Amino acid sequence: MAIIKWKRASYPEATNELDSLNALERFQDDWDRIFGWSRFPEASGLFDRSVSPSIDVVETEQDVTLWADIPGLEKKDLELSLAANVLTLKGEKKAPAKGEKDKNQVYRDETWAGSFHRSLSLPDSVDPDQVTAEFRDGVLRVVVAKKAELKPRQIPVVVR
Amino acid sequence: MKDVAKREENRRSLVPASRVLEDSGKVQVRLEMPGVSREDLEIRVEGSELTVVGKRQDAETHGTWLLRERRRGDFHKTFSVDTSIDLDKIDAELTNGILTLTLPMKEAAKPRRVEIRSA
Repeated sequence: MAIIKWKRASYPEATNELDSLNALERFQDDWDRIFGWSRFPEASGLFDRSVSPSIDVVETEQDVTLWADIPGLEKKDLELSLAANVLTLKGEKKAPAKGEKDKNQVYRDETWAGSFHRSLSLPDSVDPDQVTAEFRDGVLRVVVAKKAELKPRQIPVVVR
Repeated sequence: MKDVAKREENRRSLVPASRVLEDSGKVQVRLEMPGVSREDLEIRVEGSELTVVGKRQDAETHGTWLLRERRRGDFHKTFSVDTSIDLDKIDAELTNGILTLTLPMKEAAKPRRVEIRSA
């Protein structure tokens, strides 16, 4: 089976000069192209090889939410703990079954497997007793509520 | 706000990390597509091209980003499939963000051992 080069579907135009994240990604695109990596998957190129899950963390007034891309992991292979404000994510991404020995031939493998361990310091205002976590379609989502006394409170002003 | 709208149109397309192996008369393709649910996945066969598109719902966020490592965009991947593959019998399974495509080879294309008769 032949695999053809991925064709660039669209190349985002510069939308905002101040959008440094986009600019960095465009630079990575250019760099990868110079060296002929042609933006092959997340697993190639100088900047994209990943050996641990990618994580997003967003803070709002009410809570702190974390997302982690961990495709192929099962719930039992994942360990999540929160001590004070330090969140630790541990797990093992298992390599897929190899199939019948000596009879298979791997043509290409861009995936990674192995154990990972990441600790993140969340804002001090999080409440370690109020955590919810769900794992869906290979994405882990963790929501940690903030301590009530630290949430900004609206003070009504009475006009007399 | 205009910028945001424009950026939505120009969604980046990501190429899922893949693993392709041939095993006992079948070609197995594994594509890592975290965040893609069954409803957001489309698999098309056109001629000898097999295209997989996985749309990702980015969570709406109004807060402050403390860490931003995940790539945004939809997954796209096109394979050109050899004629030895039986395109009518492709099987697809999506589990925990991993799509596994099983492409059986046509009977005629399977390696066969020729027995030698002794005279």
